[in-house]
This record gives sequence, C-alpha cells and structure tokens, in this order.
Amino acid sequence: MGAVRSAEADVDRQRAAARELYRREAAPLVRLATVLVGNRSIAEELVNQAFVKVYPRLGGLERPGGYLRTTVVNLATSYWRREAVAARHAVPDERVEPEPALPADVSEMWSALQRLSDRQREALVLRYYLDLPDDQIAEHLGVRPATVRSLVSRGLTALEKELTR
Amino acid sequence: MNEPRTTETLVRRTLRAHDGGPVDVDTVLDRFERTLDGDVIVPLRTEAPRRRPRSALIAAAAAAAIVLVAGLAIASVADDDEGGTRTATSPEAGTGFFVPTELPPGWTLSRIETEPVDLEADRTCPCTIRRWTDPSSDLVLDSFEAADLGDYPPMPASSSETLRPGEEIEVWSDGPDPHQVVRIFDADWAMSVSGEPVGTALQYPIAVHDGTFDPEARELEADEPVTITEPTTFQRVTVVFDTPTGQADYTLVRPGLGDARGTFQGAPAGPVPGGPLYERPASGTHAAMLSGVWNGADIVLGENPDGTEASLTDLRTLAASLRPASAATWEAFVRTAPTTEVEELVDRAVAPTIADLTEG
Repeated sequence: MGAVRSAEADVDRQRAAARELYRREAAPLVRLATVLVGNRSIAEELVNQAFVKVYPRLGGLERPGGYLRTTVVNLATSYWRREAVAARHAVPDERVEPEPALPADVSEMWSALQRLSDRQREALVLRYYLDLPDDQIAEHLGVRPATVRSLVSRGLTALEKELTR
Repeated sequence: MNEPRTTETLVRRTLRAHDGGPVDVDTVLDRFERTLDGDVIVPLRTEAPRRRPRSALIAAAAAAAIVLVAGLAIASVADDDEGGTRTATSPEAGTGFFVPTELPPGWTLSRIETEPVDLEADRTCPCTIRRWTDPSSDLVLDSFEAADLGDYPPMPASSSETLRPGEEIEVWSDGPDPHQVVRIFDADWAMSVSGEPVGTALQYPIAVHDGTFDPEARELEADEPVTITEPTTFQRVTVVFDTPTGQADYTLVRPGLGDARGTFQGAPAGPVPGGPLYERPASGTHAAMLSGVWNGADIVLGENPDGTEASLTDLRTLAASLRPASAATWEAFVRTAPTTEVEELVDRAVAPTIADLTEG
C-alpha cells in the first residue's frame, strides 16, 4: 500500500509541475503557434499536443520551455506538410480565419509570408516575433547558425520581391 | 550598427498583428488536463502516420530508383561484403544513402542532422539540372538551365574566354590543373566542369551550347534530368561520429546540388567502396576534406559542422566504411541517432531516395 501511495504522490507531483509549466508557457506558445499556422484553435491543439508529448519526460528536462518551443515549431512544420498534401487533394481550406481589419501593408506582408518555404517562415518568426539570436533559432530548427542567416536573408529578399510585384 | 530594413520592421509588425492576442490559459489548461485523464481524444492531425508502411516505402524506393538512376542502370556500384558486385537493380543502388560498417573501436554516433538547401531554387527556378559523368566519375559536367539566372553567381569571373568568334563568356575556375572546376554562365544557362583544365573543359559547354554535344561519343553517362517547377528546398543530411581523436562527419545531398568538388581543390584519394573521392589535406586555412560524386548522391566528408576539424586519417577511415544502403537500412540507421526527437529526425531525413528529401 505504501508503494501505491508513493506512486500516486509522484503522479500528483508531476501533474502539479506540468500545471505550473503550462500556466507559465502556454500563452506565449499559443501565440507563437498562431503566428506559425495562422489559426488560433489549431495553435491551441498543437500546444496541447506538445505538452502531452513532453509530459512523460518533464522530470528529465533541463529547459522544458525551450524543449516545448522546439516541439511546437516541429508540430507546426508537420501541420503545414500535411496541409500541402491535403491541398493537392483539393480539400477545402478551412484553416483560414476571417482576418481582422488591418493596414493594407500588413495584410500584404502576411500573405507574402504564407508563400515562403516553411523553413524560411519559421526562421523569420523566430527572429522577428520572438527576437531570438541565431544560435537559439538554429537549435530550434535543428540547423547551423549560418543556415539561419541564409534562411532569414533569403526570406527577406523573397518578401521584398513579392511586395514589389 | 545597421539600420533595420523596412521589410524587417514590417515583418515584425505583421507577425505581432497575427498572434491572436491574449490567451485564455484556463481553457487550454483544462483541455490538457482532460487529455491526460483520457477524457479527450487528441485529434492527431499533426500526428498522422509519419511514414508510409514499410512495403509501400520499399516499393516507392524501387520505383524512384528506377526513375532517378536510369542513366546509371547498368553501372555496378560497389563490392559487397562477400566480394560480389551489386548492380543498380539492388534496393540500395541509387538511393543516395550510405551507412558506415565496421568502424574501429571507440567510434560512436554523435548525431544526425539535416539542413535545407535551396540552391537558388527560390530565385531562379523553374529550372532543369542535368549531369553527365565519365565511368570513373573523374569528369563531371553539371548543366543548370533557368529562364533567368539573375545575378547568379555572386562572385566575379576569373577570366573571359571566347566561346566562338565574337562571343565571349565569363569563366570561373577554382584550383590548379587538372582538378579544377570551371563554371560558365550565360543569361539562362550555367555549366560547371570538374576534372579538366580550362582549355579542354571549354569544349563541353561549347558543344552543348552549339547543340553538337554527343555524350555517347565521349563515353559519358547521363543522369536523368531533374526539372524543378516550383521553389523546392532539399535536405542534406550530415552524420557526425565521435572518434578517439575528435569527430568525423559525412554529408549526403541529392546529385547535382552538392557542388561536391566545386568547393575546394583536391587530388584523387585512394579507392573506397562507395565511389571515387577527392581529398584535400588540412592546411593553415582549411580543414581536411574529402568529397565526391557517388551513386545517387554527392558526398562531402569533413565539413566540420561545429567547427571541429576532423583528421584526414579519421575521414579516410569513415569513407572506407561507407556502403550504399536501401531506404529501410538507412531508416534503421537514422533511428539509432541519440536524440529524443527521433520521429522528427526520421521525418526530415528518411525518404525512398535522398533526392526525395524535400520540404516546403
């Protein structure tokens, strides 16, 4: 019985730690995921999945916040890949929510961002939304810092080209 | 300190305007708790099967290998462990994946990573890439055609040569004869020739340009042309080992995108089972490096992704251990990588052939 109580206490402690982490990290992660996938409800779903994935490993992670962020970026990438497959099969795109009234240049830029490659868009989001340095972006994307600089530079160039058409 | 570009400022504003604003943490936390309690079945939109069933994967690998290495279909690629010869009909031929066998004691797999390579595709494609090689792969011709090459390449020409009377073209060359790379650019066409001095290398682009190029007469084998119709990003895969003396690595990328011999001057290395290699010993400014054009992939050893210089001895040992692998064998190898995100790695690094490793 003692062992059972001890195991239950461990589970309770892990749940409490997860709850605390969630309260601290969920809001910025949901906003990040929203920027990455363009839809709040899908963003919440991705963040939820990220937490579910991380939950069993919580005790062994040194920086669970960074790990969660990487997981969210990866899940967003997977989401876009599947969306691309779905688009090829002519599934109606229900992802796009009505866009609030925004300045024209912001709306045009948002559209242009959606036409970038996944990696370029992710690099730009991590750079200009989260203001992360190259080495941290590289860590999240699983590439080298030099690649991050290339992705950002090429992304910006592609955006400028799009907007001057 | 540079002023931020207008585009950067607008990107920042745009992203902030699209983050959805305040988040109701209690609602999402409740969902998380109910998921843990089993009350909510998470709709696994992003957790759908990451890979095709094994049988489909193998079938796709075989199909892709037939299409992608048609030009190499009769070439034998490597001796197997029993001393026999594998041909392009074997499942590992032409996948472009190579795995190490029988590394010395003390070598351990440190990591496997991927890196996107778009090779100007987002700026210059639609485009078509063609490659011809002689049977020994000493001579490699790469042709790159696009509607408009724009400002590519971004470096000044080393010389100007006469293509035909009255028509001069710019030539880029790296390294001394006879292992230099010559690149020739026109408005809509670029060609690189490695393995010939400038004087004789020019005959190939001139012949292609004039429509008199006859690969068969020159005993050159042609790869299947690759046409890229939309911006495409390919993944190159780097495998890093910890060795008793430091680290050693190899990088694979689809044929024609690796610039395998264009990045340095090298002399032919000793024979290894995977294919021919050129090597450059370490000097005051360069790390040791080996590279080559192998069946289904361009390969470079010693790129030191972390700036750790590998010894030439370790790189030679690694090169000698590499054997062509089927997609299934490659996946099994990737799954041995010491990472907590192995599924994500498999997602990025496994496909029927390395040419199928694309994103976006």
